[in-house]
Amino acid sequence: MYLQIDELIRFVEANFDIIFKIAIFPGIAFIFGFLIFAVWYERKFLARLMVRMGPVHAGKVMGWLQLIADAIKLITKEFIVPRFTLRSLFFLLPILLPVIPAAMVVLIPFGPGFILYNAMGNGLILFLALSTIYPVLNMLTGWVSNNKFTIIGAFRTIYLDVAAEIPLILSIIGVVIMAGTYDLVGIVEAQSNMWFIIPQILGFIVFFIGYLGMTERVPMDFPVAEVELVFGIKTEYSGPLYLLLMEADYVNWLAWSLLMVVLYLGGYNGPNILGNPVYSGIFWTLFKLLIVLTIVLIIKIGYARLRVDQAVRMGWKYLIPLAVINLVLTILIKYILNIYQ
Amino acid sequence: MTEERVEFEGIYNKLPRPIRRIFSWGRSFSIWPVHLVTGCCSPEFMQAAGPRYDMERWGVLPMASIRQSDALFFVGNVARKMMKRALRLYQQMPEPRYVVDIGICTISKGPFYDSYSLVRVADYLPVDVMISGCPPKPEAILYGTMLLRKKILGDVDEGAGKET
Repeated sequence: MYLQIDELIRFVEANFDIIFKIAIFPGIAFIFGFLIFAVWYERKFLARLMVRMGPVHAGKVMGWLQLIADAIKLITKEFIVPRFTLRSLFFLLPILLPVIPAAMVVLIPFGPGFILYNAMGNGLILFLALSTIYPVLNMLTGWVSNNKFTIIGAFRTIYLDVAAEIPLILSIIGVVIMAGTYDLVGIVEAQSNMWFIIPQILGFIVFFIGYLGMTERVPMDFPVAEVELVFGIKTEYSGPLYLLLMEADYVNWLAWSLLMVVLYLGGYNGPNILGNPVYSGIFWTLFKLLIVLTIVLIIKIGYARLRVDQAVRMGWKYLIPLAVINLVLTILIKYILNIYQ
Repeated sequence: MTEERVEFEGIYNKLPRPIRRIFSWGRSFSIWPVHLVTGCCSPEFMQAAGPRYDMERWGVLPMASIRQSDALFFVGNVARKMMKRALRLYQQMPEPRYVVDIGICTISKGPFYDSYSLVRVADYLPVDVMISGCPPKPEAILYGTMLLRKKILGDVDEGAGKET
């Protein structure tokens, strides 16, 4: 067995497009780059909102090496395996957890024709199917740690899943009816005249609250409630395993934010400012993503944490009826438009 | 001990010097402390972490959990009963771990020098940096974290309180 360089080069040249997409842009390098950027942006932006400086001295300019330093420290730190844990799952889950949101990112269209895998026109269904696995694995991380705080965190993950995911999916059905397709590219193309946030404003409100729950951001971050449960489901993880869990959190945030951009904020639609429609599409997607992240961070600084029962009551008592009303209105509008066409 | 530990320090000490230098740079810029509030120096620590004296400029990010943290900050007078809990916290920390004393009570019991119930932290744990004062000002706490950074980088002699 020896490596045939010529054949390898020919293979790469023939499949350059797909290899670039897997390795660089919507794939591995982009996800890791997003991790470093998002954590740095969160710390810096929250610090500015608190009238602090945030990281400054690591890397001289705006503390841009801060996350590299944190990663080096966490990788070279000892990790502790508590006794009476389920060892196999304790090591397997942090490796498995970031993979599922990364598979969700793959289904997102970034520009016209720039998509890694469109799932034969069923991208939205595959996205939602993958997203249902994530809270279960998240719950298991709490359960295998065998600690009272992690187990309470695991229960709360399931409460949150019940409270947030059902209204979220009900609100997404409105978008599917408006666009008439499950294809994420088709949904973006259907918004070329008007973003779905305007006709679907009720659905967007429900989706946004459910999104905050599914990504465990601040008004509903009670699985990792720092002051009640020590560190929630992540309490027993230290060192590199904790780094992987944090990574899973942020990739999950990326996947759901991109879904919000695609479903409600027009995806890659926008003025062609960079000359090439693909490049400007990618620019507009990332620009809208940055706006979504900023809004979530402003909410993080301004709101306190909900109680578990408050969140579940809000989900079942207010969000599901709102989503159903939105669904009925959408069907009526669609029906009336069909009559007059 | 209720957990099994995977030791890395022995491996790292055998690595070549430039790689160890990179590791210690990363560690020095990301000290995540847990401040164990045993006494009334705690507001000074909070002020040091707050907007005016912002410790996060050097990457010092106060954490809630001991498992993910690097340094244990004793903030105020430590009673004998509290020391048992503090020892347990210290056992739960992953290596490399550092201990910092804040306030004269943790160093030499201070105004309670003849108390029967207070203890000195240095009698029980390997203390890396001692920050004197009653209470120390936030600037002093910042200076203590700078000394800890220098110790991690290997730039300062033990016990030397002067700039290098």
